[in-house]
Amino acid sequence: MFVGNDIVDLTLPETKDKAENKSFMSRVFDSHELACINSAAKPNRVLWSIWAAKETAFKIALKLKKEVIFSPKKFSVQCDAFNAQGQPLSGLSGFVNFENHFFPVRWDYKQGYVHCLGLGISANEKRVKESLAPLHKAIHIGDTRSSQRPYSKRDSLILFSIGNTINSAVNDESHDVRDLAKRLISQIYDGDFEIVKSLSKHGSGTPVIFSRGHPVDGLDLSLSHHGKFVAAAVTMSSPSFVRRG
Amino acid sequence: MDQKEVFSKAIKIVTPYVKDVKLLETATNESRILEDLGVNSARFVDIILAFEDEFGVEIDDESANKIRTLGDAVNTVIAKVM
Repeated sequence: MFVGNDIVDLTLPETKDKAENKSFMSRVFDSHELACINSAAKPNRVLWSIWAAKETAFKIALKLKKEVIFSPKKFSVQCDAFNAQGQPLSGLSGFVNFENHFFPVRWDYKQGYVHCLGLGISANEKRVKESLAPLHKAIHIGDTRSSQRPYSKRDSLILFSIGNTINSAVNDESHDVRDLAKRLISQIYDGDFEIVKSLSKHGSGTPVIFSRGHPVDGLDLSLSHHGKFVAAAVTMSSPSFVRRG
Repeated sequence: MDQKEVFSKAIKIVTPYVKDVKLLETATNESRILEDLGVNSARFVDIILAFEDEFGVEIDDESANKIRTLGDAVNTVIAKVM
């Protein structure tokens, strides 16, 4: 099972008033998404939520098919959750339709960011609601600097963590997000490992967990950074990699 | 319009979107827009739109996804205007 995630720093000036940039809006969003953004009480939040969902789905699609390109309008986000709630709230979920694959996604909001987490379950239209269940069971690891905690054997374990770079010793988000990911992976994987970027045909990169020169089967990783935030998500489809307490 | 002229305009176009303008002082055709200049994916869309406006060309998603470096952007523009 593949995982994708994306984070947007809503405190950055570049994220303010983006809805007024007509060229950007028409390039990125389809008519349904535009209607959803324009009717929202907090259009900017909805805008970046939809953007994050597109990026999340793209990262998943790239793992399924290396020749996929980021064509924002082809990743169509179903925005019913925002319309129903009237505003974006943590725990809301939805779907991204890409070439008739429906990827489930979930959004979380806190301290100036929107984070989107998605799964490459590739559900068909009739089974999309069932595909949301694993996302709602995803575990947010709030502070991976704390002592490692053991997880019992379970299928489809999804962990994600969000950090910030304010107190980082290095001015390198790429380093910081890998550091966060390594701490996250160590929650469920005991062996030595490294994170390697695998390039697609068009040069887009997906992170791969390697151990002793070989990719670790059954573990999948997604990284994201924007502004002062970094985020990582890992999913495990093989119980043999679960840390036993 | 030659490559040098387009490159010079390209530097001006990307300036508002890079993480640190000092990075542009040593930028070359080989500089990667996302990795080396610290441009994020949303700002990359802004850059593509700015190229379209500046040069009066249309850069579709397929072409945009092939642009990794400043040199790629320059060559894409030159190919479109010729």
